[in-house]
Amino acid sequence: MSWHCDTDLLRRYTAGAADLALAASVEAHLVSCPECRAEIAAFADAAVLDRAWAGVTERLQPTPLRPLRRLGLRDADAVLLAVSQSLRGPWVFAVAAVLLFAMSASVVQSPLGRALYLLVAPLVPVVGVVASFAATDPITELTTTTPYPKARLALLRAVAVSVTTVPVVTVLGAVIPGIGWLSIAWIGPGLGLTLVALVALTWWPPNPVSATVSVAWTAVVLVAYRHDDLTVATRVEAQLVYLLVAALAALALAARIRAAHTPGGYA
Amino acid sequence: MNSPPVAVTRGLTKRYGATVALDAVDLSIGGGVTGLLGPNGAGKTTLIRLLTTAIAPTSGDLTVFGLPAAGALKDRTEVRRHLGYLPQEVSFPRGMTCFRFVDYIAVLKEWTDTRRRHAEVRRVLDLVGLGDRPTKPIRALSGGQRRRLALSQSLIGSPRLLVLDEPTTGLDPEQRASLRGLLSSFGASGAVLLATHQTEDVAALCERVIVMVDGGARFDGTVAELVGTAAGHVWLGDTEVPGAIRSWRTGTGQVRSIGGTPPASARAAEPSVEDAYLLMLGSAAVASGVAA
Repeated sequence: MSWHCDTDLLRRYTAGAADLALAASVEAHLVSCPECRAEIAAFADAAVLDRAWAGVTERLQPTPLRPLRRLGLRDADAVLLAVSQSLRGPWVFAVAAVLLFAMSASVVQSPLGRALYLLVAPLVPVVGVVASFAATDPITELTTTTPYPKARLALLRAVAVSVTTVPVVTVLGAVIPGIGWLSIAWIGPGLGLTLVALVALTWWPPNPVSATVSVAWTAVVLVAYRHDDLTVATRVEAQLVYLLVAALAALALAARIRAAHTPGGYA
Repeated sequence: MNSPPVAVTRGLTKRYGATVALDAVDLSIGGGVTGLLGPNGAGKTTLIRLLTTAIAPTSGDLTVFGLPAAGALKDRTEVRRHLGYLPQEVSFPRGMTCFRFVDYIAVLKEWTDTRRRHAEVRRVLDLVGLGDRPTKPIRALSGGQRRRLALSQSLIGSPRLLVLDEPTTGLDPEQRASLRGLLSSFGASGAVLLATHQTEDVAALCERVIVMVDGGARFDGTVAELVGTAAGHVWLGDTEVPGAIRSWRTGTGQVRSIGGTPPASARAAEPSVEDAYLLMLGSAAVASGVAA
């Protein structure tokens, strides 16, 4: 850089006293000159900058996070969630699949439609949680060597995915005729499967975990469907089994975390 | 170097099944820039991953900043607070910008205050020459720019120990020179461990050098001492020296030979870090047939 903005020029520019041509050339220079950017910082109004920067970060937040921020999600946590949201494809796909199956169920009013809803709904949070780990898998090596508590990171992701998916799936099931009480009953297996997936993530990479949990749940729903009785998979006894599975998985997760293995790797 | 060591290993061993990646290594790493040389598969990356707490050792002791880095989570976390790490390969999450990537790592490094964190992110992006393109998507960056972006996150908070695995991969000569400037000023106040294949980076930057071969530390000393091991073993002449480990015809038409028994016509040449390194690898390098 052959020249730099002098102090007086920078002061006039920030005060809005430089003419248009001069202001444009100062701006062009500032873009490529860290020294002048550092110098101009002293003249800038901190309140104006804060407001502008808050506006920029708010615009940059991916859509599912905006409601969470309004509910009081801290900025630093939003940053952690935003990165895992960069792989939103599977999440969007899963919600779309639920919508599709739910609608098909309402149209045909058939056991098949209801079975498809029961198959897909509990897998939505599972796929969402696993996808959030898959998105950050390429930099696990880096993440591991940071001081941030990995167990907190895993739970933050799981809770954020649940908060953004469970209401959507439940409301869809409730408003579309033909789903009925299934729109609530899926939450039991959803919770159990999600916790099992989190435990599995302490051993295996995201994709095999997602596939294995999906196949296992498909087998359960298939058996119930073959019996011509979806209540096999959703009645009280079954719900107690899911809750037991969820409780055992939660205990296993706690034990794994104590032994320095968190979902996504070494603690 | 009389300052207390930053990292000490005693019998540090890492096995993957039957494969021994690191075999009972005893090392002490102090301040300044330390080079880590060695052929592929020698255990450089394993040593680095252990030092940075990315993996746990199979056996042996590892002390970083006086704390057991492979011990309780509390100690490991404290070690991590003062570490900067550039892995050999960083494949970025999809759909991210430069700023957001570094911002993410900064949060994981406990920079919770948004304003201070954003200022730090801008500072490290400026340090690697990416300050003018914070919102550029990572997929639109060149290979060298990606490497510099990966490097920038390791500089967050000016860590006490900076561990870099092949930082110059994909950088052009000008970028390498500017990286050397950055690392030498960093090494003046802290500690840098630099794993590399580039012997010229070691010659230009490092006070100390460790040469790894087959999972062990074959050499540990100053760069001058390493070069000294090749004194009287490097020759220039019209023909190849019989029994030389390596020899090649240089641009001036003379043949440079490392090792062997020189004929009367050959004259001794000033050894370089590369000559000493190749001589040290010796028979292992010949057996692999690289550039023979």
